This record gives sequence, structure tokens and C-alpha cells, in this order.
Amino acid sequence: MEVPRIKELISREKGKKVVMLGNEAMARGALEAGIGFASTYPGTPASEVGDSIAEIAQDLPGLTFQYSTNEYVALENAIGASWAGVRSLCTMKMVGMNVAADPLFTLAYSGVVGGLVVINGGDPSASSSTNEQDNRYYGLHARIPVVEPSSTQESKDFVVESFNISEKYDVPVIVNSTARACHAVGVVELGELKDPPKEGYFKKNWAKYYNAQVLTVMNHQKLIGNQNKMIQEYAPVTKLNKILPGDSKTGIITSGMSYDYTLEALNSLGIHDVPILKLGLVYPLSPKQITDFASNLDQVVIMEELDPFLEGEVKKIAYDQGLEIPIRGKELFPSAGELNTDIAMQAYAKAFDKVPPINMDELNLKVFGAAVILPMRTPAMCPGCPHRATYYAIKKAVEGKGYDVVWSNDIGCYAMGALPPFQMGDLMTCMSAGESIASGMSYKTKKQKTVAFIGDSTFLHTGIPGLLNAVWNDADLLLVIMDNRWTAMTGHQPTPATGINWSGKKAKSVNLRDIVTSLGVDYVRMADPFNVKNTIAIFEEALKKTGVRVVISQQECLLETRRRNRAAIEERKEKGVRQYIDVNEDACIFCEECIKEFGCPAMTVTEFEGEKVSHIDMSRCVECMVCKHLCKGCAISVTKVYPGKTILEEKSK
Amino acid sequence: MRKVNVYICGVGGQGTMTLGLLLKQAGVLENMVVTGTESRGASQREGAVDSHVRFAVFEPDEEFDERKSIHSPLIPTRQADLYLSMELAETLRNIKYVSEDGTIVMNRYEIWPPTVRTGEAQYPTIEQVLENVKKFNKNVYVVNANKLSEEKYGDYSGVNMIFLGVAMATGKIPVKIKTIEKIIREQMWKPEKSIEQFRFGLEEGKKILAAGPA
Repeated sequence: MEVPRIKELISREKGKKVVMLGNEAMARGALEAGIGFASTYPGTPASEVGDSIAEIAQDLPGLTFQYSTNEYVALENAIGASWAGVRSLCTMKMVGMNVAADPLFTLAYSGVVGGLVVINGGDPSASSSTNEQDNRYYGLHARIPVVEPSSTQESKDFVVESFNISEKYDVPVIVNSTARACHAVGVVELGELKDPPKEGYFKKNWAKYYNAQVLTVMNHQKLIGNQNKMIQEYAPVTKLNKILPGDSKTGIITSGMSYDYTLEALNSLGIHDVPILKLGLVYPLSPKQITDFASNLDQVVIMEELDPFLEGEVKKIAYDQGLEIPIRGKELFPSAGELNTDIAMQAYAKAFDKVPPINMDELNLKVFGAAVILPMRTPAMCPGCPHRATYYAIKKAVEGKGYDVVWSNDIGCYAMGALPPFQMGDLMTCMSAGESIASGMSYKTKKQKTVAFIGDSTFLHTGIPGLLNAVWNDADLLLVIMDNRWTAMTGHQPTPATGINWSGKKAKSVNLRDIVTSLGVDYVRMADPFNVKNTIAIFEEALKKTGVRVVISQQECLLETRRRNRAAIEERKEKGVRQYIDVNEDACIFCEECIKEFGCPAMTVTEFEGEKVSHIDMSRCVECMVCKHLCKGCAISVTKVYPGKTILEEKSK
Repeated sequence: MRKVNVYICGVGGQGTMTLGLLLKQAGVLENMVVTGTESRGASQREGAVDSHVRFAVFEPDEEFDERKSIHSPLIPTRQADLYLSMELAETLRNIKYVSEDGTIVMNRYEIWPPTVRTGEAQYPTIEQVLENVKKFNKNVYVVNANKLSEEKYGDYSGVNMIFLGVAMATGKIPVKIKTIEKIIREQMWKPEKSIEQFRFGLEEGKKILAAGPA
């Protein structure tokens, strides 16, 4: 499904209309801007920007791509390429910006040579994040322009323009795209593809690049000067902003997805004459443009997602310019959660004194009444997920021992260990925080055992300093590295331990055990979670010890294994070779170990001779065989079917 | 300009995203303005997922009016002309999207969430689901695409294309059948097999439609 769409990314058919994901459109924009370098650490909702560049980078000679170990490393690499004179792109999710913030602020002082654009995927509603932070404040804080698209077409076009601004005003530019814009699928008219530069050259300029004492202050002054110039000459006339004129005395200022919701809500309310200032450049604003827009108005309504950022900026301008009209923003719209057309309709109905076409309170009550019979459906680890097997093993190792355990969890698929049936997630904060929070806690919770889970990619992202610190400062911590060989949750990007690079070519790989050992951890154990009994024994022993202990539970994500073997699996099927994992109904004692304790989604319940028995849904089973090892009634058997013969291979023991 | 909204829901892994993408691409081939969104990220397997597909269909030489067109990738409440659910109980989760004169196509296939498997929650009966769905819209058609696929192909490999065929049979999707087939040919892994499954779904869909709402 993905491949033909990805090829459009490097299409040279200017003017062609294609369907693109917002993230793909931003990647295309960077390619039309002629980038020579792109780096990323994957994170939903921005992952596909980097992933799509990874797909085509080999086809554009001169384009260098990398999955970096984390966001600050990604940004620093992009800075290097920019300073060598090459346009550079760096992409991350919004919380990644906190990691990249250290180089970002000083980068703003030094500025760029080749344009540098940082794409941030924001997450109002926190569907894949641990907070909803509003990254427009990074623009305000670091004096960096912030650009926000409203459609997939703009996602492409605005990235191209951001590279131009970056070079013209010697400053990096943030493209702030929310999850809804990143994952919107729309039509994009392609522009001209620009080939990457052949190579770059670092032209020395000590005053620009060496931020120390007076040079720092001078660079800060330069940044302020460039920003003022931008506010004066660019912000009032930029094509990133547009005005829909109208005669109404109430005007609307909005940006991003809120512009879309605004237009559709007003249309539904039958309001067609409201002037709208749609901002694509959300920072810095032009006092002239705001004043001109508001000068004939009695009231301004500002619709924006998350914090009152534009509201604050517009109010500052209004104070300076003596605009004495009501400016209404968060008085009408919520700051938490994602907005939509329904919310916009209710708020605008209030602002314009109209009756909304739908009584949302009444409807919500009706929906609630109808959905009462609907069972809750949370995401779960996939059938065959090695993390489920690891959680099962440690749960069994703890069972009946009387331990009081604090389960510190982290960012990744394994975070779902907090859900039933394991409920092993007492806390989750940010990338690799789990191990250090648990270490800090361990000094003060002598009666409790502190166990932290961390994924392989999260560990390599920022987890190494935390573990080193725990060893150096003698914490009492059992760290479980959930090593599934991939950055799985964001779409199976490789890690430095996978053994391949972004293009799928063989690359140097680090050995996690060697890293852990070199940090000074004396107690390191390797576990194969699909070997249930051994893994339980390893955890039993590790839990008894004190000090810093590390168990690396290693088994590849089965989705990836199966994807790699897809052709072979299909071929087997075509030839009539099949494998069935069955529950032998006579032997099943319906202890529900596989259902309630292990919780595999392929395990269901059926009836046999009037008795309830476990049943395996073979349309979902991926043959990890863990259930066979944990079955108390030895009821699970494997049957192989070849054309013409059937072989009952083995039963669980 | 005519706006047509198609809402697709199901459980992660069922293929709602693929169906949504096929429809969007078909719309573009027919020169419509198309937008929409998909559930991505945060390991959506087993979770409730959806795909929004929105078409703006223009008359020849009609001028584009920004204020009146579609923009948001999300379908507003009560504006889905076609509401497609690939899983029985999921039909109810976002039923607020279906418009009063829209059509619902529901796949009679159950994927039990963990709470049902462990016995903490009950999975509703089809009668219960239908009764509640009908509070919003009585134009409901039921198909068992999984059963149809299993009977004809021996496994569930045909579910998506059969379901797409049934959806097309409602006549609510504003693209031509041959455009859908063109997209299937370009995009699917096994194009010929997919087209055959799609046509089978189309025929089954015609029968279901002819029999009237459930």
C-alpha cells in the first residue's frame, strides 16, 4: 500500500495532484526546497516525515538521511550540515523538542548558512504522548519563527517557504504541525523537485559559531535585529498569512487546524460575512497586520488549539497600539484537549448569538445511553508480542513472594504493561525517566522493590546516563531492558542495536549487554521471553538481589519478523502448507491462565460438550508458542498440514 | 458543490486505513477535493480505530468558494452520509457521526476486547447493537464479510475488498466502480485477486441492499 505513494515524493511531474499524508507532504516540501540533509528521532505524530525520506533518500544522490539516537543529536547533526552550507531538515515529535532545546537556543544566536527547518509534531488530545505541550512557545522563548499549516497542500508549501525565511533571516524555523495535520490525508499539487547539492563546505567565521562571552551577546543582538527586520518587512506581507474579507464587525484570528474548523462551523451556522485573518506565520506577528485587520472591528475572536498563545501575542499588540476592543479567546474555547468543528460551532454560536444546529448536550446524552452496552476497548500488545511474555514472566516471578513492587514504566509499546492483565505501570513520565525516577525512589523506599522497564530504543535514546548514574550512586534498582530490536511503536525504525541503518543496509550494531557491563553493572542477565520457565527463573533470582541489576529480555518484535518473512509465509500458504496451534478440548481444564493471566488477544473462549474451553483464533495467532509453554493442562498442540498428509507435531509439556 | 462524508471504523489491524486511502485516491482521480484522516501511532492494534473520508464534488466549471468547501479532516457530528463499521460492537462507538438520512453498513464480526475475554465485560448481542444503532438511523445493512471470505477463500484475506464492494453497492460513495478498480489495480499487493474479491462483495452488497434494511 505504501510504496507507490512514497514514489510520488520524488515525482518530477510538476503540477501533478497526488494524495498525501500531511507528514509526507512536509517531506515533499523539504525535497522541493532542495535539502541535502535530514535527521530525525521517530515519534508519533511526526514519524512518517523521516520515514518517507528514508524510503527515497537512496534515489536522490547528495541527500544524506539518518535516524539519530535522540533529538538533540538529530538537531546537532542538522546544524553541522547547515553550517556546511546545505539545507537541512530535522523532525521530531513535540516532546522531542525538550530534548533538542539545548542546541536550539544557541543555534538561534549563531544562525544558519543552509536553511534549517525543524518540524514538530504536536499532540493536542495526547493520543500518543505524555503531555499536550504547546511548542509555539519555543518560538517565543528562543526568538525563532513558527509556521503552522492548515491543509496537506500547505504542509508542503509552508515547508518550502520556511527554508527561504530561514536563510533570509539567518535563523532556524519551526514548522509546528499538530497530529491532526500530520495525519490528515489530502490532495497536494506537486511543485518542482530540486536536486540536493553535491557537497558543502564549512566557511570559518569564529564570531558566528563560537558563542562565548561578548560574542554571545553580540549574536543575541544580531538575532533580535534579524527578528525586528522580519517583523517589519516580512510578517505584514507574507503569503503564509491570508485574509478572508467580510463586513461583519466581529473578526476572527486563527491558524492551523482551527482555521478549518472555523470555516466549516461558520458555514453550518450560516455566517458568511466574518472577516478572518488566517495566520500561517504564528510567530512573530506583525503589529501592523493585526492593527489594520482589527481597526474597523468591534470585537476579535481568536480560535487556537491548546494554550492562549496567539491570544497573548495579539493582546500585547493591542495594548501597544491602543486597540480598545474585546479580544476573546480561551473564554470561548478550551485549552486542554483537541478542538474540532463541533466545539467551534458551539463557541461561535455563543460569540455570534446564534442557535447551533445540533444540541450537543442532548446528543451526547443520547450517545452515552446507546453506547452503555459497548465494552471498553483499549489498545493492547499484539498477539505474539515479546513484551507480553516478559511481563508474564516477571509477574509469575513475583507471585506469592510477598514483595511490594513499584513498577516504573517508560515510553514505547511496553507502556501497555500498565493495562490489564499485568497492571505493571505505576508511573510513566518521559523518554528514559522511568529508570532514574525509580533509582531516586529506591533510596527512600527500602520496604519496596523498585523495578523499571525500558525499551531498547528508549535506553539508547537517553537511558545510558541514567543507568550510569544509578551504578555510580549505588541505587537499588532492577532494570528490565525490553529489547525487541526495533523502535516498534513509531513504525519499526531501526535502532543502533538492530544491525541495519535507515536504508536497510547492514550497519555497525552495538551490543546492549556490552554497554550495560561497561557502565559498571555487575549483575546482567540475558533472557529469551519466549522461553517462559527460564525467564521466570531469571527474574526470581534478580528480584532477590540488591543493587543495580539489569535483565535484558530479548526477542524480536514478531510483526517485524513476519513482515520480513511475508513472501515465504504466503508461498507456504499457496502450496497448502499450514500450521495450526490448537487447544485440545479434552485436556483443557479452563484454568484461564492463557486468557486471564497471559492475556493473548488470539485466545478466546468456546464451548465443548457443554463446558467452557480456551480456543485459539488462528486468524490472529502468530505462532509465538508461549501459550504452549504456560498451559497448565498441556492442552496445546501444533499440527502441520502438508498437501496430502497431516502431522500432529507435539503437545505442550 | 456537493459534500459527501464516509466514516469507517473498526479495530486496529482490520484495515480501516487501507479502505480510507483507496477511497481518497479514487476521489482524486475523479477531480474531487478530498480530505480525511486516519488513526495512526500509539500501537493501535486491538484498539478502536477510524478513518474519515470527505469528498467535495464539483459541478463542471463551478467556482471554488473557500467559505463553503470542506476543510477539516474530521467529519463533523451527524454529517456522515455513509457509516461503515468493520466490527459489530464498534458500530456504536462513534454513531454520533452518522447523518439522519445516511446509510450504515455493519460487518457482523466480533473482536472481543480483553475485558470481554476475561469475563469482566459482556459483548453485546447483534439485537442489542441494532436496537441502539437504530436510535440514530434506521437505514442499517448487515454483512458478514469475514464469513463470506472464509467460505469463498478459506481465510479472512478477502474481508477488506468484500466489505468495500458492499459499501460501493450502497451507491453512497461518489466515485465510479471502475475508478475504484483502477486504484485497487495500482495499490494492492495482489491486484487481480483483490478485484475479484471486490466484485464478489459488490454482488453480495446488491443482494443485501435489495433485501432492505436490517
